Amino acid sequence: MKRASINIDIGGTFTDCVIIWGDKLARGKAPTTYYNVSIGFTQAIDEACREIGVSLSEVLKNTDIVRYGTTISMNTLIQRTGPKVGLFVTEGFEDTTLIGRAFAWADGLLPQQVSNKAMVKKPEPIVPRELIVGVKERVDCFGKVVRPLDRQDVVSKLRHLVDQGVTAFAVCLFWSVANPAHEKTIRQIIEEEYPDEYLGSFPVMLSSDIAPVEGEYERAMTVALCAYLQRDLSDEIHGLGERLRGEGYRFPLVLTHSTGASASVSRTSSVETYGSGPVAGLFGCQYLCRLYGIDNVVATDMGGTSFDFGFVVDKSASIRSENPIVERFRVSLPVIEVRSIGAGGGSIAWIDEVGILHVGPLSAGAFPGPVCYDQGGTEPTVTDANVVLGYINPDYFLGGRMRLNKELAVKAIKEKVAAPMKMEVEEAALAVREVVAGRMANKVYNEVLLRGFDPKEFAIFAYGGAGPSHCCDYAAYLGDLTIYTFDFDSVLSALGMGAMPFASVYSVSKLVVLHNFMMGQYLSDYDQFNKEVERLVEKAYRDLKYEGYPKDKVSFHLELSMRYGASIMSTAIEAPAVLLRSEEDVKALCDLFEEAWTRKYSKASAYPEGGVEVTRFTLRASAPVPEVRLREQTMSGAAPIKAALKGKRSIHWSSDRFIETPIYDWELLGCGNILEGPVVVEAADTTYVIPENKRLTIDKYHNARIESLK
Amino acid sequence: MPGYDPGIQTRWTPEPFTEREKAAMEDIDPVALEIYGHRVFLITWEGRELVMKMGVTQGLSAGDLNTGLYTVQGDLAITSTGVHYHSCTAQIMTKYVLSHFGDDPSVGVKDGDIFFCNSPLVGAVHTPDNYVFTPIFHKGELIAFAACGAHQVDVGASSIGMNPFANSRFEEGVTFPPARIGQNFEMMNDIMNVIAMSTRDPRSMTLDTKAKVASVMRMRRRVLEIAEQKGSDFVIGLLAKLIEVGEEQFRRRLSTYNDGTFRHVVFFDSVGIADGLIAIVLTMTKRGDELTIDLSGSSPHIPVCAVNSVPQVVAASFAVRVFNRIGHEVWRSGGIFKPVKFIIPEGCIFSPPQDAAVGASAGLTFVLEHGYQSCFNKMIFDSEQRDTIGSIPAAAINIKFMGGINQRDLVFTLMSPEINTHGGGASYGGGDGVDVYGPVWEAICDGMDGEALERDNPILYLFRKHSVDTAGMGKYRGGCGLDAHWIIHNTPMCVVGGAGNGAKFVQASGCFGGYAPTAFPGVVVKGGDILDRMKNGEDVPLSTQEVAQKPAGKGETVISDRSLTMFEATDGDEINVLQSGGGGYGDVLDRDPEAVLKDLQGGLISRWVAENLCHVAIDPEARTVDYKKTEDLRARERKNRKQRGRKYGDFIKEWREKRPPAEAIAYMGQWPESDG
Repeated sequence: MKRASINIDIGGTFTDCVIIWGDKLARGKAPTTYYNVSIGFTQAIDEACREIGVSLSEVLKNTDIVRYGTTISMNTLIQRTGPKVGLFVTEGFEDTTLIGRAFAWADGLLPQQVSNKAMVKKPEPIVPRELIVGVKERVDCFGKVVRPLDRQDVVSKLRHLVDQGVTAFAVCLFWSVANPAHEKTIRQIIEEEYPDEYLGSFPVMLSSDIAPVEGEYERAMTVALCAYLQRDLSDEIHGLGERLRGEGYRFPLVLTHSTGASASVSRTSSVETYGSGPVAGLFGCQYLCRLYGIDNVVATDMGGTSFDFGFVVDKSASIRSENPIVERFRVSLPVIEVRSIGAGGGSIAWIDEVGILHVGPLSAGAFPGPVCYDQGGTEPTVTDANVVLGYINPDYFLGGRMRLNKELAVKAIKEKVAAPMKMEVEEAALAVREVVAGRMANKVYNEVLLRGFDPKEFAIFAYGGAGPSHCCDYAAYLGDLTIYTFDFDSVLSALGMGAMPFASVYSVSKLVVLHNFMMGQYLSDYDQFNKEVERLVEKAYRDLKYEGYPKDKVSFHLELSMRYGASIMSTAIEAPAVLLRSEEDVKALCDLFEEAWTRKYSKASAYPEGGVEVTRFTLRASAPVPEVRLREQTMSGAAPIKAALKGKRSIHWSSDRFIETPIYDWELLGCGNILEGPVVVEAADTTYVIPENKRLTIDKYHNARIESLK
Repeated sequence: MPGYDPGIQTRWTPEPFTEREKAAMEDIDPVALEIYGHRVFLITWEGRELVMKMGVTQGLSAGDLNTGLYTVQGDLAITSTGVHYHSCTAQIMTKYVLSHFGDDPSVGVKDGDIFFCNSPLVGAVHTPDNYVFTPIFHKGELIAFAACGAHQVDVGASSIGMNPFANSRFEEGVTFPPARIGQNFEMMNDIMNVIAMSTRDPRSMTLDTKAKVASVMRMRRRVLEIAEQKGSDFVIGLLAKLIEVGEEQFRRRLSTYNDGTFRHVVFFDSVGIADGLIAIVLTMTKRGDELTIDLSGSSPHIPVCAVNSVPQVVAASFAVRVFNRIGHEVWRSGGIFKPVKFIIPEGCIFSPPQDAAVGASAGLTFVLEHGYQSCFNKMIFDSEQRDTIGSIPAAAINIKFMGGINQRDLVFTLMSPEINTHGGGASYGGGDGVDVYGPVWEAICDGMDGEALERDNPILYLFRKHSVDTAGMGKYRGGCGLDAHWIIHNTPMCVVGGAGNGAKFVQASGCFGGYAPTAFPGVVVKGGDILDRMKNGEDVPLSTQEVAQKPAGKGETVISDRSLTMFEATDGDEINVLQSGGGGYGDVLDRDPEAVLKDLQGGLISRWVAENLCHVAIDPEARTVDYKKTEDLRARERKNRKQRGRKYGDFIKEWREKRPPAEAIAYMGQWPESDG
């Protein structure tokens, strides 16, 4: 019997599906139906079922796991449709989430958006001040109670919140990470005072359960967001689950998380689903790295308004951020990093007061869009530049689904870029492309370096509607890196979900001194370290058992946040083993930390004499899922079939050269075909721009590799 | 021996371009300028990020630092979005090295050299600001410098942190004019040892200096990557071009502003050893695309404390106002100094003799920043930069320093990161100021999590929240500052000191009728029983006002200036670190009554302020605005204002008869001539 996995990415515009059915892999795509996501959801599955020729109910009866990533949390946040949440904090700290470490006004905004300090604002709070109550209690950094919890005070403040219509509770007390007793008591009080039969089931979320890590602002925001987002997420899941079960699916629906984990809804903190789609895309890249034997990749997704990128290092999508930003709030969540800048096909080109050309960060968006869309846009964009130069065929944009107006594009570039710069219109369009490529490359370069890596050791995966059109440009700035593009990139996130092992990720703060500054001794009491890990391991076994994975299927990876002396920030390392057994193990951790520090910062800056400490433990427990196998296709020769050549077009490749350039149809190119630049390849969702001295090779999976001609 | 070079101290204006620079600039086209200008900016950003991630001192992690790249002549070509006090002053050091060591065979400027400097006589803001810089050579030729400056907690002065009571610079800790701490790309441990061992916390000094070294070496490497790719000429030309573009952009802006002479007088209210007023008299004259900044009439230097400033900090504080407000889109290079002439009379508080103590030098220029902003507000009111008009965070500093043994039996030093939590100013474009926003010297600084501070330091916060009534009211109110209060907790030994101003006299301005933020004193409780009261479940104070106004239990509540003589603190002592709010914009009687109600309900203002300052009637039962009554109250207040009005001549006559107490103006200089 075939065993299947169904993987679905509910995006802003489309719902993508990848079904792994034995050794077959099928794709489906449907518009996201916001009024009822289950409709788009099942349409996408239906389409994939048709590809493999099996009915939906047949597939669902044989499916072990349905995993999906959703944007519902993002929508809830943008539209602010969550419930009234009441937040309990320690008395005297009621404004913690409003203060946001002071610089919260800059979080989640582009540098250009915060440069004029007269205009900056903090975000509208998720929990307004009148729904935040401080309770009389206090715990210190060792977990010692220095002020007992006042039960009467809690009851009176609870009533105050209920009177205001609160329907969900979040609790974040100072140092609950060191001693959660008071948080647990508050939950108990709420349950006693307002049992289910009295008010119905109101969720009560504790920061010590959801994010047991230091940093009261980030922890409070995490638990507040969870309480805020949970209702909409549960509603969505309920609708989807009902529909799938009606068709024969027997297991819980599983959500993918931005931490790289997967879990059924009852074990999912809603905030973990925020941004899970792009992270799943990175796992798709991880799968492809392993398939192709590539160690390090910068995964780049260039769309209409933004350029998103992330990293796969040593064939693993594991670069984490401890305090990522969700919308405009900083949270405590060990997410897999995906960065973003304002650069895309719709980015607007403009000239500043002294004649310097800039591109972005403002975008014309989908409406009015680039000038060539002829929807009222007046500002020249990157897409307009591509039309002017001849890269984009105005009659075959989006596979011919949209016609573009070249004359308008020429006029806009001419008037708003070429004239002020005293350039020819084509020269100006090339400059627009060059600037946007330089901006993207500079940012990628900078972020690679900040993580202690050498860009030259990376390849580029280019996807998104504008990725293949610009990847050769930004790859050149990064050191002429080899580029890979993928036939199925439009469902890369769904594919990534299918390729992700089933995982749980746990993070907890605990200070353990591995090497003592004053005494110069190594840790000898291994229990300090091991007990913390064992607690997480037990939790992982319990959770994964619930998901149907026995102990023998579970493997562990331990990541440690470490620091020298009393440094504020930490550097993450992957521990070679999860437990410490000897002084050698301790020394090995210190050495690994020094190596990571040196790689990131420099050898001269290492200072082991200052003491070495662990500040946070992050455990990843994973279990295998059905393997993804891409179908190999029949190889043909290097030369494409005649029908693949659509014709020739005069294209402006450099400031002084028009070249009659061959235009190919991507769908008709075969595996094994090789094209040498200059050449343009038109696909339904993108255009490949291959300049001179570059070669595009299509492999057995109908993916492309673009490299320099030596 | 070069020694003190007063001429260097004022060389922040970029040098005339050399023929080599001019020729190299020819090849920098607008596209290359945009792409590589962005790239070198990201290089400085990378350098700053590195220090923030590596630093031990709270100042470093909180972002109280900056990085920059400098031309072959030592001029600032590009700086990160950090504290421009650091990046603008470092160019004095690079120029000193070029002028005095370049041809000195015993020193020289060689590839692989790493220089350290913290002398205010050679560029530093004050001794706690430590700088590291390195020359960048490509194929044997000097093509640039990279520098990083950041604030350390302790530099071995006669008290932890900065010593507001120092009588001369010889009490301000270890002081290095530019000197090599590394050669051939390696740090020299003997010199590093001298610096570290001269402080109370050698571990922090060592780790932090290593962070700065890593930063400048990283920036060097990145610049060399461009040089390898594009050639030395490209780098030399690019950096010079950034200065030229910065100048051009700033001149264009200046040319659109109103010509005229704009004056603003502000007062600094602490002379370190005691309360007292220091006059800062600013006259800005703008003609065409040029600006003159004249500090004539400001108080003379004070020989008995560390309140004096230095000329390079005057220029740097001007850059902060330009880059963070009116010129926020201008390339962050020294080019902005070219159209500006500074007149800083020798012997005044901004240009003291070389032996003067200058620990609080920036404190004075933080107040001066209000003068700059106020003059610009008037100058640019009808320009395209109108949305930047408004108030800025208060210049009232309340900084506390601690050192000793922490709860884990380790040596620690702490500088209160709460200084990064002032309220923002209200503005024409943005409306109300941001609550708990950032400091006047650079907004993107981190107030940090309380737990991160309690983890490594023997303190327990009693409260950490929005403050009440610290903001200046107006049509748009300023942001409120942070109200925070430490209890000393779990230490076998520690000392506490402090520096600051703004305890009695407002150190900020409102804008166009908006009120200035309020002044708050320093509050310390010694020998108190707060920990026992907490243990017993008793009620405790929940704001600085409650601590100050309702002293309970045992102990002595000391309400004083914010500067604090270092004392030995024990468990249960309380130290207040409240920060001020920002100034308001426009007439408070034009403030939306609903906004006043929201302020009141959010705990940002008291009922007294709502009723007596904003003149809004609020029904306490219904928690709603009584509009009819509010209209009446406001109409009456407008009438009262007219009645309180004076004819100009009468006002001047009355004003001239007024005189502060003699002790308040003992150090001010002449009265009334210095009143502006």
